[in-house]
Amino acid sequence: MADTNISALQYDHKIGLFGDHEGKQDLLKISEIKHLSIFQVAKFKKSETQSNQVRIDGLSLPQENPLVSSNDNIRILWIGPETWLCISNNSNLKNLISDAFSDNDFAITDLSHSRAAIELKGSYTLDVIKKGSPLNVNENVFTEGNCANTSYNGINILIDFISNNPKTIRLYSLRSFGGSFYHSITDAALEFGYEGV
Amino acid sequence: MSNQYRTSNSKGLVNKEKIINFTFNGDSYQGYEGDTLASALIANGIHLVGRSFKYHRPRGFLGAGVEEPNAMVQLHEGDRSEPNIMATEVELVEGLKAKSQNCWPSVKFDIGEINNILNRFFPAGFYYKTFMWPKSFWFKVYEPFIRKAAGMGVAPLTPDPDRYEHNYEHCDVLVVGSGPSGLSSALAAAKNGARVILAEDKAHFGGSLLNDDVTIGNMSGREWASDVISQLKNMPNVIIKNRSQVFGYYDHNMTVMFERVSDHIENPSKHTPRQRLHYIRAGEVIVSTGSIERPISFGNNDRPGIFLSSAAREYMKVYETLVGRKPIIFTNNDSAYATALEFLKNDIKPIIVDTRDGSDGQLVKEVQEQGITIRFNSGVANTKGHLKIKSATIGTLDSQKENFISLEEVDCDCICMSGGWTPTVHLSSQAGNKLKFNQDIDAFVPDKKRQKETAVGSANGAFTLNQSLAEGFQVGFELSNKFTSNNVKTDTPTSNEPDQKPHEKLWCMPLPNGQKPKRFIDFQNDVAVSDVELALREGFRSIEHVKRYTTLGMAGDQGKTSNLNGLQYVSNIEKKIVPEVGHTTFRPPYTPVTIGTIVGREVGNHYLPTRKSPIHTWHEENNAVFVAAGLWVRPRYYPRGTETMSDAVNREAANVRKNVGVCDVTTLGKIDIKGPDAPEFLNRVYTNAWLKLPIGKARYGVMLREDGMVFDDGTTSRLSENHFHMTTTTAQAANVLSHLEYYLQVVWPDLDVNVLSTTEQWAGVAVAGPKSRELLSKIFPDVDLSNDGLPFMGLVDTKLGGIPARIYRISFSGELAYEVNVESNYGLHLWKQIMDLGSDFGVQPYGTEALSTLRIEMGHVAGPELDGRSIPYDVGLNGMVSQKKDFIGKRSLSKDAFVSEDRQTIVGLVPVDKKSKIPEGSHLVADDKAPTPIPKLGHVSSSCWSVEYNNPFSIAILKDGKKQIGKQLIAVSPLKDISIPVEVVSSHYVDPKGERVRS
Repeated sequence: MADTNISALQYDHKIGLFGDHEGKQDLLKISEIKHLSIFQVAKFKKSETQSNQVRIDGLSLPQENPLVSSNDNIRILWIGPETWLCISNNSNLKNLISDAFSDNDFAITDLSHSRAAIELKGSYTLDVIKKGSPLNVNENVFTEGNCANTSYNGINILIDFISNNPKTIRLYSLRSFGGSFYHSITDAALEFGYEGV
Repeated sequence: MSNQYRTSNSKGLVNKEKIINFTFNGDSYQGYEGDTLASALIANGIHLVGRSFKYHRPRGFLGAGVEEPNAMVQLHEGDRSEPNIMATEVELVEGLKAKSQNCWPSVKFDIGEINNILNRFFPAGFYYKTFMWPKSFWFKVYEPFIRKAAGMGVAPLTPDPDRYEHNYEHCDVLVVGSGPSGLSSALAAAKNGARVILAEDKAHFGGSLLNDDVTIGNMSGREWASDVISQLKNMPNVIIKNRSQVFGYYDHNMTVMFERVSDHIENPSKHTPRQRLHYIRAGEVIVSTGSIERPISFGNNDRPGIFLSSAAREYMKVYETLVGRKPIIFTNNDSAYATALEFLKNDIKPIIVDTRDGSDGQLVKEVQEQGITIRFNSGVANTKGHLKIKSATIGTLDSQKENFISLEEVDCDCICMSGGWTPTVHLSSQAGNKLKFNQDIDAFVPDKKRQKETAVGSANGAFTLNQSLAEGFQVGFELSNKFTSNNVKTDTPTSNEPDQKPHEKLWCMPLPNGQKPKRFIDFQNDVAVSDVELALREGFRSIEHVKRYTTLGMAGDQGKTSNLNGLQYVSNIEKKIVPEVGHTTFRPPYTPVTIGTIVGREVGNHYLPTRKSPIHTWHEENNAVFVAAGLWVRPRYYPRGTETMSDAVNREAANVRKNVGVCDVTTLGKIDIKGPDAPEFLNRVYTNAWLKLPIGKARYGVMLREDGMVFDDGTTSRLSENHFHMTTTTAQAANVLSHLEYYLQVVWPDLDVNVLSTTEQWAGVAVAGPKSRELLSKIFPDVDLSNDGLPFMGLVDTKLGGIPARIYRISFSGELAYEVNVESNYGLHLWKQIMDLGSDFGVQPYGTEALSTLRIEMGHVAGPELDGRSIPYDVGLNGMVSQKKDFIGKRSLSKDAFVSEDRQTIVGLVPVDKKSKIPEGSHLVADDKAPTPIPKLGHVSSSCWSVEYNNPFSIAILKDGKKQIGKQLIAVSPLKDISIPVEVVSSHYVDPKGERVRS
């Protein structure tokens, strides 16, 4: 199935060294995160289930912005009141969600093919973000375990702050914007130099 | 001999170890690292830099920074050529090329100077009274001449090759300006733990501390500034930006700053931006932008060699450059005496002319102690010297200061004038601050705040150093405490600044007896005192009118050195006080900003984001010509060989009618609708009924706006009891989702429904034509695609080699057709399968143009018909409107105009000659030769070449359309200037009974 399953950035993402990279240590690394399972989970208004009691793979659903619950398997991002995005490398995510609650209580929708996902890793990660997004990413406001909906050069994106050390962030755009979004991110990274991995 | 005007004893900030070569007007010169273009030119004895805007008078430097009105130059060459750049703001870099503007053939001999000779014919507002007769001259003579003469520099005609970027910052406290009040407030705020950004326009921090001989604590002012910067650089909560100008203050404490990142670097790296625009959202903004010295108006006060006194001092103390060796200091206040002292330090004795009767200020005494005689109660009446000042006429003033009693001419090579100081209130004013007039300093200062900004130091009218320091430290502490509550207060040092006596309220010298030299107020727009007098004589009283009639303060410098003098002069003539006269409004940008900086990276292919389907690469590889559909890039047609667009479109459409075509329809909106109230919700949103739609079936739906106009249409399928898949048009996908969310959140919050866009989750391919069933049967051999197995408007879930797929039997083309959806990652694979396996059936791809042809000749409505002006009855959707249930827009449909008998309806049109294509947008009239106004009966909404009948065909919206069928009308296109006789026919031109879709 390898050549039938084409990721969002398959024809855009380039491997190699780019920009002002010469002589620099700890280069920014940019990669495409492929073949994720992504589900939006939204609680129905009239459901009597308490969302703060729900556990998916042992994780609670974050109850407010800008929080993320995560383990090695799944990341659950708060994206709106009683609405979450569940993301996993694991293809059995749907089962884990179904085990947690019934689809009479929550609208569960597969969005696994609908996003382009880019990961940035390195000390210049937030500098790249600041070039295109008005989001306040100062460390007292936005840090590891946070997520936010914002825009990047006019493209709506979701930022998931994975780790502070090394600084690692995943960015999700709608799939169709993937090419433009990838260009924006890599263009912003040229000043610092980056490695496509 | 180069650099012959360097100081001998002033120690500045230039690096004499590094020589920099540059050219000006083709001649080569040398300067030093740290010079500006202005300081380097002055050091080389060059004062004539350009010609004034209107009169083409020779002009030199007035200032040393952003206040400069005269020294506009054209920088660089070729595609980097940049007009209208102030030489005082350009840092010298190796190989810099600059030239004068607004002069021909040269700045020394300029033909345009004839305007100065004829200046009495070009007073303020002359263009309101000229160029009117004869009328025929306007287009042939006046306009071409004015266009040629207008403007200053020349814009390049090729794209800018440099890189510009944007950046977003957030901070607790933004400090604008790094003079004493700025540095002290930044230090106080930073030490208290706030997140601080300090922005300074120039390359060097320190502001006036670099120009004044003062001490702060036990350090010189310059050392203190350097020490503070050093402290701030070591604090992780501080960002320091030099070469950065905050030029705009907008709502919600948003400020915008542009940073000159690499203009001063000889060979910057390829990816380093030239300039960067920063959007800064600050909790509090401290405006410490200092003040600008006021000129004095006197006869011919615009000659090269006439400077602001503070600028002359800056050139000496910062750039080690002498503005002249025979200076006259002309002042109405004490501050200019610091300039005199700096000249004396370099063994130059200035002549000092002071309008006041006397002063015992400390600086005055120091000058007098050095043996300089000061001419009090005097003024400069006039000057001489064509390309550079050579002499000045100085006179004693009478007791009223309205006339000169005696005059004498003295030799000089520069005049350093000082009319006092004007606080730089621009940013505060942009923030909405209501200014007030301070009588003590004769200037406007900030008063009532509208946003979170605070002016400190001389920007707030505090003209002493001790005041500036005290204010800066206090405000920096107080404002930062709002964010940190650390309560760490920094001690305020004291300064030994000299005490200064008050200024004289005199900024305009009387005319010398029997002479009428021009006394300029606004140098950049050539506005003189006589122009202001003329405006007032002609009845312009409001300062807004005086400004616009004379253009005072309307040039690129926005009146930095002229506004207040202009106001003062108007108030003198009108015998009012300045606040009664009022002031004009300050607007961004504070200084000119390059277009490139504003644009940033929105250039080239990525000027706008684009959206592409998962199948896009195949289209590119197969010669598709693309069209923008909103942000989507869609294949328009696929030309083969030398085909024209028309050839390709007709081929593609004909192939669908005859064999099978395939079209990428991924862009159509898809909305997932789930919930116990989903059926009821759809029933209210659509005009037709939805409660009983069977599972596994699709239905065409129309939704209206509340005013009854058709909003969008599409097919919606029932996947399970409470789960629906809605499709929308490409153009309205986002709007429909917003529409649904609005009703769920605001109008019907009781309905329990979740809506979510799944447009991107699915790739969609339309397979259309009489052989479509055969083709799909080959791809999905396990699916019963017969009429019984998958009837029209049915759907089935299946797999494509293990990949989930959904097949809908729906048709936009009017042929037997299907739409196949697979998850997006597999979209390209599906398409390739269809193309590979479809070759036996003559499969060809078709684009949006052929798609359009197919639906037009079938009479299917789309965007041109559903244009926000048509109700369902107009476009033949009567049968879609339920009479039994309620829905959005129902009540509006009963409006009188909507139910009138001769209401417009959709029809088809065929040209009588069966050849002429009818332009879209044509008007339909009964008789195009009738006297105007000719009643319009309708308009043509869509046109195509009918591949079925091999003639043009159009859809139109026509008054009382159904009754017009069979009649002839005229289609008139004023844009193309043609009239075409047409026959009105049914809009369902092809397969009117709809048999093909059900075959």
